[in-house]
Amino acid sequence: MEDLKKVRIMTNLAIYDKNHGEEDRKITSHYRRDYVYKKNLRIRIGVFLGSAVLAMLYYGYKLFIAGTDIFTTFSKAEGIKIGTAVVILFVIYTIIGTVINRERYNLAEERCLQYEKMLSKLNGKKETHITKEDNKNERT
Amino acid sequence: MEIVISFGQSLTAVYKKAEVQFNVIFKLIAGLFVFGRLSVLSMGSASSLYILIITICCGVLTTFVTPSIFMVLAAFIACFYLFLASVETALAAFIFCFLLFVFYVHIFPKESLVIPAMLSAYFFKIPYVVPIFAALYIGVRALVPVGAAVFIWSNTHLLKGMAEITPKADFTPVGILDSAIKIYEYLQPTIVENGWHFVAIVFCFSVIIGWVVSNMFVDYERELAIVASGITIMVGLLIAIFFANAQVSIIGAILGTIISCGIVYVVQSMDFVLDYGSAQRVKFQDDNYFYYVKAVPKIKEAKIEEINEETK
Repeated sequence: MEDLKKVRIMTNLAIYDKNHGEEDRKITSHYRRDYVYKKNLRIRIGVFLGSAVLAMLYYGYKLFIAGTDIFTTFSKAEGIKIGTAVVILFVIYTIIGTVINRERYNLAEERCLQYEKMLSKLNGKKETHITKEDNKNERT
Repeated sequence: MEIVISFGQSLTAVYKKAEVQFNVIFKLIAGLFVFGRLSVLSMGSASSLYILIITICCGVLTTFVTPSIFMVLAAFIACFYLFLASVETALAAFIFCFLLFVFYVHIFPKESLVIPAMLSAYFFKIPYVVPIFAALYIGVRALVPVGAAVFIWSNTHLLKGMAEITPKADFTPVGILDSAIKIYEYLQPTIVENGWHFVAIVFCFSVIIGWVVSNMFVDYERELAIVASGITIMVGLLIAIFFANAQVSIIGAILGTIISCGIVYVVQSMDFVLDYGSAQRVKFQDDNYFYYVKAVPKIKEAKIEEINEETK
């Protein structure tokens, strides 16, 4: 039986692999900027669809309930109003998405770093200062 | 305090013995409860057997799906039940759920569980426990689901009226515009008058105040946060009742808030005792052996000693 220290390290490595390993490797296989961009794209698509529905409801209200004529409803001023609201929504959700996804990426990267350190310990390598860049290069 | 700690330790010991099974049972009970309550939306249009089958299947699904899939499933089943009574009402509910999903649930899947939690708490007459709990453990991310839950609970009774105005038997695709206008004319005065937005604002304020206090560097910040949230809710609801015609009982608000504060206090006292790292079963091998390991996190004894020293 291998010594207990090695078993402890292997157990911790296995626990990490089971809980976070696959997800963290998927996250950190991208550069941070690419990962955040990809995630933000999904958020923006969702916000675009939601904005389209809200715009349809707004125009429907204007035409059929408020009784505004079609030329006033689809005027340039109304278009600018709706467009501004959509842009503001996009900006807000981009900021929120960027903050959340960066945080997620940083946590995943931190965990991967810890994993690599434990692996070095297990393999009996001298613990060198492993940087985040080394980690990424090794994995890609 | 020590009684709470020792009770928490006993509870943890029992829980850790069969953690996976307990989690499955709790999720199953929660799923059955939520989907069982959703069946009310069918308004008698579906047979009991049908409802039972859907509730059991969805309850079982709840045990292994992610939070966002659970929310999507709940919304889908709610719209399906409404569809059996009225197509236009189902469409209105679908649009609401869709907007909630793209603007919040999709981005904050775990925090969106506050919505079914708060609706369940409303059912048990203690909705105040969720904003106070959210102030301690979630923070400002809970503002939207708390507000959404208040809106949903305050206006669900209108769905019946909408279904009566636009019954399924009278549905025609051509007449959908007239139905939409009728629904708008029915909803518009009622939604504004029932004062739900004041209650939502009060709950959101209590979350913000509780979160701010819990992040201050003072002694007993969590207990102070619970008290601050509770006082905000009580004062805010009394103002909402007297000046804004909110549909809330005064005695219910005061008693409910006090009970909710007590519940959250007990939960947060046991917080450090219940280790949220779950027991893990892993297997791996090296050149000589296969290893089958069960790793159970220890209860943090050091933290208990610290608390005991503080109380002395």
